[in-house]
Amino acid sequence: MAVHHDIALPQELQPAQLHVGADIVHRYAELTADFNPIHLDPEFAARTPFGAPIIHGTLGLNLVVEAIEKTFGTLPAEVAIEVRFSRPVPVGATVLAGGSLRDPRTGTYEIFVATENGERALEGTCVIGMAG
Amino acid sequence: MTGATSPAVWTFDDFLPGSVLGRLSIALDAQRIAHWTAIYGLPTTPDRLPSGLLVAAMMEAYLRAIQPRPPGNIHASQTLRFGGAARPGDELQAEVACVAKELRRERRWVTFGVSLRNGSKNILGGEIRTIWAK
Repeated sequence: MAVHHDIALPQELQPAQLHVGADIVHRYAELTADFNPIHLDPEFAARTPFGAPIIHGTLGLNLVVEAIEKTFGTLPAEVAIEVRFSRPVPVGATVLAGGSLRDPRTGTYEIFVATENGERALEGTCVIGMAG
Repeated sequence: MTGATSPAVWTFDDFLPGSVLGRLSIALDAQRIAHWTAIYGLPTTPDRLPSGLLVAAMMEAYLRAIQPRPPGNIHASQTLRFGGAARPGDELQAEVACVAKELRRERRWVTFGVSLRNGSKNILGGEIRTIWAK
C-alpha cells in the first residue's frame, strides 16, 4: 500500500452506495435549504430538458466524502476535492461513489459517482494530505 | 445575515467579482444531524460530525446568501478544501463571495467562494461554479 505524508493510501476507496428516492431528496432539501423545484416538483421538472426531477449534485458529492471517511476512518487532516457534475441523476436512481488511486506520489485519487448502469454523474479528483 | 443589498432577483449583471454577498451563521444542531442521519445513516464518530455535513452547510450558506434567484441555474462544478472538523452543537460562520464571472458562448458563468469557520479555524473552503440562468 502506498504511503503519502504518513497516510496509508489504499488502491481503491471503500465504495458508498445510496438509493435516492423522493423522500431522500426532500430530506436533502431540508438539510441544505435548497428547494429548487427541479429536485422536488415532477410537474415543474417535466417542463425542463431533464423531463423529471433530478437529485442535488452535492447529495452525490457527499457520498464521495462518505467513501473517503469510510476508507480512512475519518477525513485526513488536509483534503482537497475538485469535481465536475457531468450528468444529471434522476430521482429514484441508486448511486455508487468511489475512487481509485491515480498518483501515490501526490496522494491523488480519481473519484466518481455513477448510476446503476455505470454512467458517471460526477467525476474529479481528491488529494489526500496535500499540506505538509 | 449581513452582506450585499439584495436585488429583486439576482441576475448575472448584479454580481461584482470580489464582493462579499453574505455572512451568516449555521448551527449544527440536532435537527440538522437528524436530516443527515435520515439520508446517510448514523455518524460513525459521535464526537466528530461527518465532513459531508459541512458540505451541506456550505450549500445552505450559498443558497441563503443569494436570494431570490432565477430558476434554472446549473451547478456545474465544485471545489472543496477541508481544513478541520466540527462537533455536534458547533455554530459555523460562513462567508459567501463572488469570485469571478464570465460570459462565454452565451453562457453566464459565475464562480462563488464559500468559507466556513469554526471558531478561529477555517474548516472548509471551496468554490461553486454555476451557469447562471439570467
